[in-house]
Amino acid sequence: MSTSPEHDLEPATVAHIARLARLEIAPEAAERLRRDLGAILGHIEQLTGLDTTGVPPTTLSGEATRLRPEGLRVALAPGEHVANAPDHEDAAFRVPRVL
Amino acid sequence: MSIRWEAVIGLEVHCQLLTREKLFCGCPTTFGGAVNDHTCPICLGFPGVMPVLNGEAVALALTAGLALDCRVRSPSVFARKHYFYPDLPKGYQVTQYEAPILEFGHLAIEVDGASRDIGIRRIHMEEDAGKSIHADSGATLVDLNRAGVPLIEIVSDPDLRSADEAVAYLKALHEIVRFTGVCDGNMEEGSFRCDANVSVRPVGQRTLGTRTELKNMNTFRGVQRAVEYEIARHIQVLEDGGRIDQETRLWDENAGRSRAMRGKEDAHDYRYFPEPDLPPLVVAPDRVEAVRAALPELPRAIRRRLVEDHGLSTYDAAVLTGEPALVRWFDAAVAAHPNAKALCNWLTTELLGRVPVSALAACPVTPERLARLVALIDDQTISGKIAKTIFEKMLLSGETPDAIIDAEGLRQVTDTGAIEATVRAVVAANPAQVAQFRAGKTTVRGFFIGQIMRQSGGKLNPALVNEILDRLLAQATDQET
Repeated sequence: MSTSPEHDLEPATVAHIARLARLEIAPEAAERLRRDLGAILGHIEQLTGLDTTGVPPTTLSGEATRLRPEGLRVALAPGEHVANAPDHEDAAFRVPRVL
Repeated sequence: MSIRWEAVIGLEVHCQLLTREKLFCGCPTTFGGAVNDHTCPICLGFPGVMPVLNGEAVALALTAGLALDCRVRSPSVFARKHYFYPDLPKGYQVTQYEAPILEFGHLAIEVDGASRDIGIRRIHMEEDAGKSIHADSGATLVDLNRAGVPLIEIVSDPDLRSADEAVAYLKALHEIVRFTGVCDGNMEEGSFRCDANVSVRPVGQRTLGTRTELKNMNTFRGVQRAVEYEIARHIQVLEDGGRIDQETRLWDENAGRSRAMRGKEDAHDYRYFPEPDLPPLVVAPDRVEAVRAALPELPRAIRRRLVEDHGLSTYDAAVLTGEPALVRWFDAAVAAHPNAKALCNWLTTELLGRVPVSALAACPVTPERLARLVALIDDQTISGKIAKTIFEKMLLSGETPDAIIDAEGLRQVTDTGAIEATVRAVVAANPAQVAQFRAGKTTVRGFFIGQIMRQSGGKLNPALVNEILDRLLAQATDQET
């Protein structure tokens, strides 16, 4: 458990995350992102230092989960679903060729 | 000395659940539809929307799991599985990872008369992705009608040892999900699809060999061929001193071979984490028991009942359990008239010879009407031969057998006096054939039967006709000697 707000990330980890996210980042941006990400992770890690023994998870009330009955739908007006899409062909979203 | 190899196979089967609506929103799940017609802000992954789990989907998942003797895990946890593909609008698939809703079941299979229990490791719930259409223009078009449709993935233990066993397992599973109404089992439309993990090891070795994952098998036959091919490929590579790479391979049905998928180096880094928008799924024990109590009779039990209670052959029992609708039809008919063997023959040879199973529900020959027809044969109101004529008319006119019999005067004559008169007349009218019969040509007897049936329109009771004809011919012979 770290008490430091800094979490030391490897540059390779940043590159890996960027690749998984399909992001192309310049080397100088990578170093800034490495420090920012490390600070965020360090901050969150502080929370793991709290003693939560005996504190029940708030998501679990012990009761059965409430589920959705069928018969409810939020409908979109025709064409609305592609209105914000970068590209579309009639009702279909259009993206660069994928194999 | 050559090594004896053993194949180790595990199957992952995706079943589309027969809900009306998607897993986290109210969009319809029906196949097809105009492009993107079955979408809304939730299944399109618009910012700020919240998923709410469909209760029907949970009920169907529980049904499948309990039919497969699984244990219910409560709470189970939904997770996000991250990868980028245009048909995955949110950039992650909501699935279950470390805590699936059902675990530790099993399914009995039969191969070459031997029964084996195959372990079900887990069943988890997840949403389907959309569909990419590769257009002639070179672009890829995305239809998200299927995105968010509820699936269960049924993962077997690596207990299967041959392609035959893999197919037997898949067929048994297919049967169970259809008989429980969990899934329509339509492989063509992709509502029932299977991936296979295949490895080989020398017989006796405990550790598993490196496995490959096979995808893109769309038929039972495809699974059979793909698994056979892959086992042979593994053995060949290893015997040639090579190494099997752990990879995903696509089955090419036309070429009859599997080939490696490209560019998978990052594919295994899905960065799963618990889905923060969905609370852990707690299923109350009384809910589980309610689903268990409502489980329908399963195919194996139905086949046992058909053989043991109704005296059908195992072959007929297998034919009748080919489709859930067929068994229901048969059961309704037997309830109306308990001659199971005759009803099974009429149903499987006469009716299914003309009407496909899918059209049975709309067929004018209902279970009750066929039962009535068989009852009329059994009480000798009509002969089996006349019954076929009546059956044809039932199919065409939609009339009941009784109405057809009355309208056409087809009631069988069982009055021995009337039958004897007809037989006598035929014998008297054909002295040449009687002489041949007397001379020992007994095959001429068939000629008399034909004449008698023709004269009476086939309505005379055949057993009585035989009896009376034999007696009269014998008398004729006695008179001669």
